[in-house]
Amino acid sequence: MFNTNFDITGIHANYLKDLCELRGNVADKDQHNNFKIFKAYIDAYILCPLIGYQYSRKGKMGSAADGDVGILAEQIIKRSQELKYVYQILMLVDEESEPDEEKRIYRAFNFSEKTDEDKAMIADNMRIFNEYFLGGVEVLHEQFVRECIDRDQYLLKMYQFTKKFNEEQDGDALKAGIDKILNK
Amino acid sequence: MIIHKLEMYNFRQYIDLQEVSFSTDPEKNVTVLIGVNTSGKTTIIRAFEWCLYGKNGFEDPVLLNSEVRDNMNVGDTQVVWVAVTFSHEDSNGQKMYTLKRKFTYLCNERTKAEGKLVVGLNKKPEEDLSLTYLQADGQTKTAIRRENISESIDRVLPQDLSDYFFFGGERISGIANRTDLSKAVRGLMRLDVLENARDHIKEALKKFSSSIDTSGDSKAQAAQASLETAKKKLQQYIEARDNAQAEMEHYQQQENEFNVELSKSNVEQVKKAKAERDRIAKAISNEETRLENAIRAYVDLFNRRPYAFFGMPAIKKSLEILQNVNDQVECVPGMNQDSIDYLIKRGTCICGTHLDVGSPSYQLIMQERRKLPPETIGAVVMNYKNKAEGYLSGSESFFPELEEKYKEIRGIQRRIGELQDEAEEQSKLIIDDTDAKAIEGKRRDAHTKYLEAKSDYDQAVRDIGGCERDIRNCEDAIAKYAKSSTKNRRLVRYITYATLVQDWLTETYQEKEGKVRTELQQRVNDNFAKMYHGERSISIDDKYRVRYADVTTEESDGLKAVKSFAFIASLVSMAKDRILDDEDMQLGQVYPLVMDAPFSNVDEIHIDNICKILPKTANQVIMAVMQKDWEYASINLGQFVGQSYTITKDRDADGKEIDTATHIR
Repeated sequence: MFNTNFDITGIHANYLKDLCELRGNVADKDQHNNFKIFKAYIDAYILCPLIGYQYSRKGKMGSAADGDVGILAEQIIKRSQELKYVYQILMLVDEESEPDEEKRIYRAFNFSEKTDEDKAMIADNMRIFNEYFLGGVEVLHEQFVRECIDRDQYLLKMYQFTKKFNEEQDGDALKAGIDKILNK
Repeated sequence: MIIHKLEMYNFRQYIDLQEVSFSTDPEKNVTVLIGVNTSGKTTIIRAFEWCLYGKNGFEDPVLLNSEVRDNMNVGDTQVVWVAVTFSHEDSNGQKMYTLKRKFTYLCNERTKAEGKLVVGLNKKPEEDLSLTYLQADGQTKTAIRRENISESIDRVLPQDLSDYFFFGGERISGIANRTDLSKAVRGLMRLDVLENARDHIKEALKKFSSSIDTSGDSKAQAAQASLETAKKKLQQYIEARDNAQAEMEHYQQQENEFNVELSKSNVEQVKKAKAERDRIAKAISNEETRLENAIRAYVDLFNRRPYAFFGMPAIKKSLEILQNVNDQVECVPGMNQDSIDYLIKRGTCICGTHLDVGSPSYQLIMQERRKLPPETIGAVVMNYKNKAEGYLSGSESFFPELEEKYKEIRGIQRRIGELQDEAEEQSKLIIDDTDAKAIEGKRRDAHTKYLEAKSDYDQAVRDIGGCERDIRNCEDAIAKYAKSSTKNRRLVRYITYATLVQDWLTETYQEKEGKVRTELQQRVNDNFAKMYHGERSISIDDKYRVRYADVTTEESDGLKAVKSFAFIASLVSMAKDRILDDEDMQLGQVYPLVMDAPFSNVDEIHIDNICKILPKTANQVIMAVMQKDWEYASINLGQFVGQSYTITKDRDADGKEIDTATHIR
């Protein structure tokens, strides 16, 4: 898990190019020369599943003819601890894919692929994870790339987006609640 | 192929086992079977045909001897079989083969109606076919797989050529008049071997040609073309960049000169304004650098574990879930997941309950498994909480820090705006002075032109970068297609070889075919001249049909037979003499001639003549003849006879011949 290359095909690949800093070898770099909110694809890969979950948005991969982007295994392995953590969060809380709480706990903490049943379960979990990831990419693309024209607008939008989230979710209270559980 | 032995068991009118050994002596190569009319001569040819090719040419298709048949009761079985033993030489040397075909008949009816006995047999008797050959030691028998037998026989003597070697007198006259003999001639002379090789190589050539990947070529050409375009463009961009750089330097120089002039200006106010504006310009440049840094730091902040911040609602929910469950986790002490896996593999629990996959007991035990070590849920939950703690540290300051950084950016931007306004003010002061005004105007022009040149320069640098990338891509593509063109080169080499082989085969074929035609023409004429008493000569046309060289006149059956004999004798002798063989190629084969009443249409003089020639032309001659014909034939043929048999019938008490009890003695 989180140890191989990850290829994104379809329109979401282009969304990702709009959102992330591009390295020199991206062929259609000129078509994605806007301001970037992520420093690399991998940063988006870690955050977007949670954004997708938060906005109840899932996406499906499209055809490589519409777009194609890959994250190297090397990048993924370097950040696999964080990816696994986000994965566990999603597996614990996503009631839509699994209403039974006990089963959610099991799927969040079982990384063994010993039995065929376990293998199938992990494959299914990864599918859910990636669907939320693409959903999150969609959300951020709508919020940023469709709304902003120049750099200043992006800077402002980053501030507004974070601020709105903090206010709506009551970040301080949330943090206090979490601390209470953890420190108890 | 030389036939050594024919065995028949209850085959038609031949009762019990009849065994005929044929002469294989190269000098005395003739075997005769002498019988009266209706004695069963034709049956011998049919026995060969049935055994070799499964061909049943009888009006009444039942092959079982009718006396044997009449003695069968319902449920009885009886067999009829024919075996041919022959030698054949192929690339692995000469071997002795025995082919045996057997029918097993089952009696399913036996009635007497109006004093007449009716014995019914199954319409499709069980067939058994075997082909064995003797190993070099002369003792070990090896069987050929049943499904390969007919192919093997076809290699030894193809069925469509068999007519030329197994024939009855009534059939012989037709042979030389057939519409197209070319296939038979090619087959007998084994020219078909060359033909097949040529066809095969033709197919291979076709395959090679279609495998050549020309699309790769056109793509490589396209890439080559793009590469050249990109290189030309690169040259242009480099020129453009150098020009822009020269312009930049030029206008910067000018601006500096005007600045110097302005500073020399006597007007104190202008001097001061100029100094002030320079200071402001420097300040703006500093602020711009600060702005860049602040933006970078802002994006860095946004990328610093944003999931811990945006994930807080989900994290809190997950921790609540774990908090609720954690206390309830209870499991069997000392048991682990491996124990459960063992039980499931065994299929029964400790208490004896069956653990079928998907059953309620299975589900229960799987539920239990989830709580067990190696990683107990308690341990992993603790681990998860620790991780959460680590990742969450700092998330409380995510938004405040971001907000602060954003405010800083806004502050710098405002500051830059103010500075720009101030610079504008100072410029105005400078322009107020009439002397300096003109200089300042020129300076501003120079500055504008410098900016334009700089923009051109930046653009050219970007274009050069793009161009260099294009060039790299094109070169990669060309390298990729070069690989496929290596494959093409290889194919072209194959095609060259294959074409050479094909040319050689075609040439060889034509040469050999020409030889066959010339030789056949000559031999047929020679044989015909020896056999026919009259003054006639014949020729071979392009389809190997035999034609009279002179005007065609009414042709008697006897003449037709003589013509056919001449033709077959010539063909067989050519095969025997291996006229096509050379060091590189061994095509020749030997064939037997098996004839039934060959002289029935031929008059005495011709019998005489034919008998002089036949034993010399063929490797082996087997003929079933009528007593009266043999009297003439034996005069010339007698010295060549190695084996002779008579076909006789048993007689009943009254001395009358019994049709169904024929023997060969």
